[in-house]
Amino acid sequence: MAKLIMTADDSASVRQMVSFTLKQHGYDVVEAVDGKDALVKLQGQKVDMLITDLNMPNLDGIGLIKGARALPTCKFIPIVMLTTESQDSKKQEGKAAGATGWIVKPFQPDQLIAVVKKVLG
Amino acid sequence: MIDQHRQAFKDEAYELLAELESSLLELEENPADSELIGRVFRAMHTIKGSGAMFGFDTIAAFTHEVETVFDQVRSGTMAVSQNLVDLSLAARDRIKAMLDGDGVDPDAAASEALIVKFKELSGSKGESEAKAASATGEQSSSPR
Repeated sequence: MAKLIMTADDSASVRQMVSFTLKQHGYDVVEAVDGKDALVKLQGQKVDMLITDLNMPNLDGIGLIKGARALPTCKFIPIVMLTTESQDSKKQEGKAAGATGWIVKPFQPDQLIAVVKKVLG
Repeated sequence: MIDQHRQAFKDEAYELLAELESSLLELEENPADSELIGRVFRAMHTIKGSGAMFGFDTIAAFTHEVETVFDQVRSGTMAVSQNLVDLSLAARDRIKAMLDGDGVDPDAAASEALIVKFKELSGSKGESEAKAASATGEQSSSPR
């Protein structure tokens, strides 16, 4: 059974690229447009991994990570942040909130897949 | 596949620019509205980040300069002024021109001149802070 990955990003083009890349490599994908949308969906569906942007309206990435870690189904799943280099402090904040790692934007599709394979096996 | 993603970014960026324009015009009337400030910042941040993802490096580099200033506004270290709104609307036009050129800046000199103005704005904010700090120091050291 294919692993299910959630991608949370307010940028439609990034969601599309992430989703396309993951599906190409055999993963199932559920998209969320912001942190609030992601949390609602996580409460109704178990995912194997969460990839989240940091800057999002309604509920940002840090808020989403904290909220996700409070859900029994997301307590131990890998959570990866998408972050720009200038957001070093955010990496630490994300880690403290429960993120497993991060991918620095901009990234190439093969970098994304390398990280996903590393954390999901 | 890459063309498909580039086109998706362009479509998204045009929408963001339309939202940016309306947010800036609202901000002109409500300069302290933190939600509007956040909206402007996120539009710039998304155009910058997604632009870099899909090879629109000129757009990403230009937008980064504007985003930096709005980050200062968002953190409360700079106030929204008419000058900032005017410059931001001009920046919006520059980004649109680059998008129309598929990422190529048709007037790099105009973009550069605008960046200089944004940096002056950011620098003058810095000078104001320095003057305020200096004034505080003089007051505290003056004899009673």
